[in-house]
Amino acid sequence: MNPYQNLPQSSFWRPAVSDRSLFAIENLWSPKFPISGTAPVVTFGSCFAQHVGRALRDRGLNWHITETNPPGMAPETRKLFNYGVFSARTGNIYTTSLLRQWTSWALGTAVPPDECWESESGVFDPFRPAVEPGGFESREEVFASRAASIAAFKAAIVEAEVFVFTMGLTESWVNLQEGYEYPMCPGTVAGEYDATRHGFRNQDFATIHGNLTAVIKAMRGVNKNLKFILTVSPVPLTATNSGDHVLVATSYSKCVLRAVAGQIAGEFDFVDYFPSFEIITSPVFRGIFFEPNMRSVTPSGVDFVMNHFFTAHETKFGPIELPASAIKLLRRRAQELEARRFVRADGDVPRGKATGRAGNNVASGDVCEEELLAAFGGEA
Amino acid sequence: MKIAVLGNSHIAALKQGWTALAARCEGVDITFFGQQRDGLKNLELSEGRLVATNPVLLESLRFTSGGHSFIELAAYDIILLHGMALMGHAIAPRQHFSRKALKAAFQEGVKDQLSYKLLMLIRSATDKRIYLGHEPLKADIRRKGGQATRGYEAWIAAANREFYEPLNAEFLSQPLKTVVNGSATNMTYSKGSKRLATQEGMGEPAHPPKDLRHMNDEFGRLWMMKFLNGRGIGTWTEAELALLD
Repeated sequence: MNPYQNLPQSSFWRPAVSDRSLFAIENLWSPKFPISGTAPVVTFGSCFAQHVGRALRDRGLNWHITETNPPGMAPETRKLFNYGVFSARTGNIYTTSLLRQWTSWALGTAVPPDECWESESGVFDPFRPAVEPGGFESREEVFASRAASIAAFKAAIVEAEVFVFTMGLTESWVNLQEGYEYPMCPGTVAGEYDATRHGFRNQDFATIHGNLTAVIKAMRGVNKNLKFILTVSPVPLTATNSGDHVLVATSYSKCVLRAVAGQIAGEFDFVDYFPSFEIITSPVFRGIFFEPNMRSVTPSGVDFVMNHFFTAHETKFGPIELPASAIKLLRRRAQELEARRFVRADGDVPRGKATGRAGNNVASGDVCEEELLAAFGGEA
Repeated sequence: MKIAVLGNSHIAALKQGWTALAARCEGVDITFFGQQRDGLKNLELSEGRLVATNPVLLESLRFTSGGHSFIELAAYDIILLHGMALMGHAIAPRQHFSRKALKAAFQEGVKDQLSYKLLMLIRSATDKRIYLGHEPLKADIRRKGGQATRGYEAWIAAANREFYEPLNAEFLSQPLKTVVNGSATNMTYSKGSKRLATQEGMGEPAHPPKDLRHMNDEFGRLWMMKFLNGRGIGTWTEAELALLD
C-alpha cells in the first residue's frame, strides 16, 4: 500500500492526459469556493483578465462594474475609453506592485503622484496612459478622472465578494526618485523616457509574493469576506527589457508569477488559483489556442478556458442559480444577437467594425497597452 | 408670442398642463404637434415648413394642433421638441467623465434619435434657438438612496455645454421638485397619466397603472410653468415657483 494507490485518475498523466483527446482533458481545476449568481465579482489585471469579466457577464453572473461609461456611448467607443474593460477604469494592472499601488491609493495609505505626461495631442495619465484616446484636455481633468477611478477601485474592493486578478508581468518601470511604478515604460504609449528618472525592475518571487500578500491583507482589512481568484496571463511578453531573449524572458516571468500564485493560493483558504495559463500554454494543447504569431490567444482558446472555469464550478457546486433579472437580460441579449445576425445577412456593415488601432485589438475584443511595445521592434 | 411644441405621447401631459395655465399667459399662443412614438419621423422640410409625408401623420398634426396641416417654422418665436426617445440621466457622485467622453456619448447617444433628427432638420431652416425636453425620468415606486439632484443637474449642464449649446439649442430639465432618488420621477406624477389623442373620437384614455414612463396633468403643469418662467413668460407667485426647483 502506498499513497499513489488511492489517488484519482487525474493524478496520473496517462489516463488524465495521454489517453485522452486534448478536448476531453478535464478536472484541471477544483474551485475552493462557490460563486453565486448574484455575488459581485470584480476583475482587474493584465489583458487576459478582460475575458473573465466578459465571460461572467455573458453567462448572466454579476460582473460588478463600479465605473460606468456616460450613458449613450456606443460599445466600441466604450472600449476605446476603457469603460467595461475591467471593473473600474484602471487600465491594465500588470504587476502585483501596481496592484498594491492602486490599493494604497484607494485605501488612503498613499497619495497618488501629481505627475502628468503632456503632449501636443493631450495630457496623459502615467498610471493609465491608454484610457483616454489622444489624452485628456488638461492636468485637472487627468486628476479628476484618476480620482474617480481610484474611488471606483475602492468601491470594487469594498463591494465585491470575489476579486479576480490576472497576473501579467514581472518586468516593471519605476520613477527612481519617488519610487512609484508606471504600467508602461515612459516614452512608449506616452510621456518621455529619461534614464536618470526612470528605472527598470524585473521583479523576483519574494517581491511579487510580498506585494500580493500585502494587497490581500489590505483588501481584507476593509472587506473581511472578500475572496480572490488568481490567474496568470498565458499571453507571452510583447517585448522584454531584461536583456534575455523574449522567449526566455517570458518563461521567467510566467514561471515566477505562476509560482507566486500557487504559493499564495496555498497560504490562504480564501484565495484560489485558476489554471488558465496551463490550459492555453501546456504542450499538451499543442499551441492550438494561439494565433499564428504564437502570442495572441484565439477566441476559441478563450472560450475553452472559460468553459473550463464554469464546468469545473458546476461539477463541484452544481449549476449556478441566476436571478430572474439576469435570465431576462440573457434572453434580451440573445434576441439582440439574433437581430444583428439578420442585419449582417442583409449585407449591412455591423457597427463597431475593427479599425485595427495598435494596442486596441478590437477584433479580438482586447484592450492591451503592452501590445504597443511591438511598434518599437518592427513586429506587426 | 407663438410657441410650437413638437413631440410624441409625452406632450399629452404638457398640453394638459398648458390648458391649466393658458389663462395666466396673456398673448401667448402655444400650438402642439404630436404623433405617438416616432411618428414625427415622417415630417420633411419643404419651403420652411415641416410637412407630413403620410395621411396618418397629417391627421395627427391637424388634430393635435387644432387644424394646422403643417408647421410653419417662421411663424413661431419659440420651438420646443419634447420626448421622442431623448432621455435624462444623472452623473453619480463619484463619477467623472472627461469632456471628450461626454461629447462622444452625447453624439452617439442621440444621433439616431428622432429628437436630434428633428433638431437638425429645423436647424437647417432657421437659426432660432430650439429647446429640447427629455422624456420624463422613469417614476420610482419607492424612495431610496440620496435625494440630491446634483447628478441630474450636472448631466443637463454637461449636455448643454458639450453638445447642445454649439447647435444653438438648449436641453431642459424637468422640475427638480418632481425628481426623487437622484434620477427618477416622484410616483405621484405618474398616477393618472393620459394618452395623447391624435384623432377625432379617440378621447384621452389613461395609461395602464403600471406605466411608469408617462406623467400626469400636474406634472405637465409644473413642466410648462418651469419652461415658460425660464423664457420670461407669465407671472408666477413665489409659492408656485417653489414647487418647481
